[in-house]
Amino acid sequence: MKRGVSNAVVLLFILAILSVLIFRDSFTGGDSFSGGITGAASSQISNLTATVQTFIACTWSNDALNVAFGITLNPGSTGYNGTLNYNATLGNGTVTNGTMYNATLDTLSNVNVNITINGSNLTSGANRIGIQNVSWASNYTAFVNASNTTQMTYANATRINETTNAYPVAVNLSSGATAHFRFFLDIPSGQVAASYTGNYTMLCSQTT
Amino acid sequence: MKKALVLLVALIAVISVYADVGVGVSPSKTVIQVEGGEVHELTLLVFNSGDDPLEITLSTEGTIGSFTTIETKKILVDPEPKPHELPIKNGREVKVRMKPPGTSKLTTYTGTINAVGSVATGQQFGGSVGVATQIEVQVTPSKSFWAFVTTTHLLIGAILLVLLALFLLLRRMGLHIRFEK
Repeated sequence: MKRGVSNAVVLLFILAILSVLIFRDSFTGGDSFSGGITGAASSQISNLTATVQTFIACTWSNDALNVAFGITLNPGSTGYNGTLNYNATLGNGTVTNGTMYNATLDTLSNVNVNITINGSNLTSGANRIGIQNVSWASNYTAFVNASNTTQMTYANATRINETTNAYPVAVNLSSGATAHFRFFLDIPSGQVAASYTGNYTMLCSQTT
Repeated sequence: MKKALVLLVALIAVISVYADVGVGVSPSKTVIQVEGGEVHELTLLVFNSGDDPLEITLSTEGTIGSFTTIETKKILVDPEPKPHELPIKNGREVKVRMKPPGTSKLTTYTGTINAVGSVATGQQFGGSVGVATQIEVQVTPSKSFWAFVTTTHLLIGAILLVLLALFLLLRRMGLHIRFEK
């Protein structure tokens, strides 16, 4: 009798485990849940649905990725220009005071974008020039009219941070449009003489 | 002939120096609704809108980072033929896997997946440039109770099972546990 009770307990226990497993499968469904996704503009007419995918592509001038500020920089001086800040060469070879640093939202893009910037310190061994000593001014920010390039001066420049700047280099850039920008460098007083190198990152992302 | 060759090499050098650098991605923004504890896979199309082949590095940023895995973090992408047009010819598809944690209420995670390339040549201030696709993950409460089962729960369950098995074994051997007042 006691043996029968024990067997019944074991059987019930096995049944309980099996029922829990079945319960689990029926609750979650056989296939894994893939979730809903909306990454594109869509329109629905009756029972027809068309989904158009979004694309962004930004292209920078090669010069924008290789910025130099010259080789004679004095400690305690401010507003050194990037060497190509006022040195744009036209197709016919004429040099103007335009900048060679620019980014274009490719015509493949079907949404507008903002371009943000952050950077890291300029270093030479243990010595460093803080990234906030580098600043930029562009013709496509929220507070500058796109056609007004006179604002692209050191006086109107925004300092670069290690984290992404609150003010984008370009705001609401539309497909095919180009943002021009200039870089400036300050050398703190007492800065140790050396050749310093640093870098920045610019990112294009859809205007929210 | 020799002069022509020298001129050609010089021209190629000048062209490569002035080559533009560009990166593209599609989609540019994604909103995902997924159940806590479940896996969601997303495919991004990364392409090169510049002039030369470019090594592109992918990374995550924001609160999605803790549960997002990118299948391939470095890819070499050939430039799109000019004039640029759709469909993309030389782009690379990148799989992104997300497994947000279980939750008892609707939770939203945001962030970006960045695709960045660089051709800086050691100048004083080199640039890396790229695109960021925005990701919003809305995590809904899990329908399955198993999403809330943690390792601790499993451990407690295992200990209880061992105790039960021990109890049954003792019973089978004719031993009894009796509580007496």
